[in-house]
Amino acid sequence: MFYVFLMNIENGSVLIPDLEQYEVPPWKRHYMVQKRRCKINAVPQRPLLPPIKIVLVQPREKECPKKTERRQSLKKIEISPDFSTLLARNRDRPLVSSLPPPPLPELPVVDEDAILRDALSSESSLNSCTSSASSVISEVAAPSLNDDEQNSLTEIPLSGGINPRDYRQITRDPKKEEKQRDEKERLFRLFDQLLSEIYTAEEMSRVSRRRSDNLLYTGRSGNKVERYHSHCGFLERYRVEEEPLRYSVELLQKKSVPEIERIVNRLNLHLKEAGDNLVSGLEERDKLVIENQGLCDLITASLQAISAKRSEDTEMRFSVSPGGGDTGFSEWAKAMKMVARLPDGVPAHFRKTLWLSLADKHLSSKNISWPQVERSIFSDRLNPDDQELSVQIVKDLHRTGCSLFCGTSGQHNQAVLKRVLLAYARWNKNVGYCQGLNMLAALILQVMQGFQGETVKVMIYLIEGVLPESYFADNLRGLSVDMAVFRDLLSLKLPELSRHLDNLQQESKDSGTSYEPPLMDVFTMQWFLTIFCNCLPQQTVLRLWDLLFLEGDSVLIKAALVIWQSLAERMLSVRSADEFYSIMAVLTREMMEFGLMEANNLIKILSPTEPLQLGSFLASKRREWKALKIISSRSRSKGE
Amino acid sequence: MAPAECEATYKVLVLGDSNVGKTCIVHRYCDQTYYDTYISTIGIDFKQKIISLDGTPIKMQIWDTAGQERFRTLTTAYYRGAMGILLMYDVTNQESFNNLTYWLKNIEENASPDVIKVLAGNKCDAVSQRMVEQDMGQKLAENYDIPFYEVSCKQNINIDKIFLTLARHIREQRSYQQLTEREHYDSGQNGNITLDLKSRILEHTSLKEPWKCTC
Repeated sequence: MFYVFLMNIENGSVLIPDLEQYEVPPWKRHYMVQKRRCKINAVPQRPLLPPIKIVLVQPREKECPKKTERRQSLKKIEISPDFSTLLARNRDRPLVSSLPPPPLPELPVVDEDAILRDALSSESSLNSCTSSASSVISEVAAPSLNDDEQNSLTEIPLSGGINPRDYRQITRDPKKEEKQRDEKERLFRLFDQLLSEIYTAEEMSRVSRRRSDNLLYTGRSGNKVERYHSHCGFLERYRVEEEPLRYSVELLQKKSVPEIERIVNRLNLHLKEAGDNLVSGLEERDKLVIENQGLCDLITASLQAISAKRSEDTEMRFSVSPGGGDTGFSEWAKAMKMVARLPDGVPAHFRKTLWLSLADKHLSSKNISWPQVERSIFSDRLNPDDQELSVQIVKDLHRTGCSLFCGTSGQHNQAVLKRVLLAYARWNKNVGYCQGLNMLAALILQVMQGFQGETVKVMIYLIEGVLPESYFADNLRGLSVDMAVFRDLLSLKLPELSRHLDNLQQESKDSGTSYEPPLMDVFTMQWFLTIFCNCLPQQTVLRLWDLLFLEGDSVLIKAALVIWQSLAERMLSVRSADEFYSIMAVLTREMMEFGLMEANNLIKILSPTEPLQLGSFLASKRREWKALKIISSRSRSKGE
Repeated sequence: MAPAECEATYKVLVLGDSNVGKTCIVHRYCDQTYYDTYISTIGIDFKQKIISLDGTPIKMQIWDTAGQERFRTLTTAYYRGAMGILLMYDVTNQESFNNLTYWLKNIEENASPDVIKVLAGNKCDAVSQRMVEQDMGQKLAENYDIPFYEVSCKQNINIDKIFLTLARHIREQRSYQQLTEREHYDSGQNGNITLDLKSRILEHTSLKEPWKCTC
């Protein structure tokens, strides 16, 4: 087993590209390094990285004196994706095809003199190297190799871990040496490729980050070099500090003056470096903020250009999160409404931010201090009602219609969903848990990427800030009011269909065969209660929800209206209530599977510029029906 | 699917506590499938199946209801139109059995008085988890004078049987109704208002659609 490091020659820091699986050993103390240079012809004239050498190290395992034992103690190296592709490529082709093949370095001879010679020759040829980057490979002799080891490239069999001082004691075997040479040759090629890949990657990241070009970094050497740290964060992360940044008083008291001076110097350097980094970081941040602002303005202008150009459209202002104050929020919300109506709607990865921003606004408008609330509703202490609530919640956890919550793989998600539903029930005792909330919570949880606190926030906003009152509580009065209001709206907007359905209902009553409740109630009930989440394909549902969150509950009624409108023609040919249900059974299944229409069309039809004063119509009808329902429920309870 | 093919449509309502397997039995019966997981029924839902009742094609329109208490105001609207009610409990859940009296009271208040009732104890395959013995269900059914079966959706035990029983009883009930109505109709016009109305309807429909079942 060996370790691969990239070492910055300038400051001696160690860089390991994306090799988290590798254990970083205190290699300076424990490992002997043999140096060898590799020319990299393919590297651009001026490398952006500081000169790097590749260090190959191997643990010296004193405690395993025998070779076989030592080998058994070695773990197989898990090569990171980048490395394994590199290795795989190397296995097939000896050299990088896209790059001119680097000249092969001199083959090492396992012999201390040869090592010295090699070191010398690498020093002398350094100047002639076209690149200032020099890669140094070090390795320790491999005393034994066998065929199957050679075949496995993921475990490059440079076993041994013997101090170079022991080299002389190794018995020479020409066959073995040949194998070793082959192995090493392969390794050198590998590292040539590795280096050139690192440089190529660096070059690409430089191109992609043009704005960082003028940011300079003062390295430890004092020379201004390209600020590579910001570019290759993946390398920087693995920088190993040689000395501690903190010293205890006792430790310092033991040190001599020159030692302390050295420490002070070093710390000063650190400080300066950190300060420089901070300054350039802040500069970069300012630049990004300005650039971000510019881009947002650009989007605002584009949105305004495609808007209907009403007076309120001039008030929109695009930004990722809402600006401060009520004006900032309404400017942002107006821009988001436009975004939600764009052909692709709100991007999926942005949906969480959008919903959360709206939910946060709702909570802050109600002066709710969320951290406290969150602690209490998610607390492990049982409330008196919890037992009863849990019984019903647990029954519904696997019945959300979403595969993420099914089977053994869904167990974790079910546990999260249970906590969410219980937390909401604790938050709003009047609503508690209502069947159907499981589906809503499951969908929100999906969008919130499994964060339970955020999910409850959005649920609170949806149930208390968006939907009409009592959709899920008080015997679902709010829902039955809306079902009635919707029938009224249908008779206004689609009079022919409404009349036809009423007639069918009446006929079945008259014929004495049976009593029928209003025919469309079954469907309206399901659509409204689940907010379409089990009636339409999920992509359409999410887009509807975006609109619902942004524009309020009228979206629900408008969407239902659009659905009936598109079904109207087929419904008008239906001759009995019986037939109506038969056909609707097929149509609802089709709607779920294929969608009623393309999501975009549906969103487009739900036009915000509704000529009918829908808002006021709904409000007045809701008041009427609510009063009626209350009266009828009172008379019912009196009758009992 | 065309209604003319069927002699009649029998409307059946499935009632019972939440999670006793109402949706499950409907799917098992109508689609011949069993899944461990369903979507909780929201409000009310329905499925249809055309069966042959001793050679007569009958459409079974089965209404599946949400079990949770708060849905009851919304679902009672569907009680009145039901010709048969399949009342269910879960043999592994004592509570669901205890609530049967509540359900029966509810049916009495909201459904038509001559509605056909059948009692089903579901999940009889789960022997180790059983909480309600068969004779308890049997006793209750005898008290109320309704047919009783223990069923299993998972292992498809007694599913077809229970729906067939329901359908037969509905048919008997309807032919009896038809008979009594006709008697009343024949015996003179002095019946009460509802009967009067019914018989007029009968006349109306039989004139209009003589081929159709007029019950």
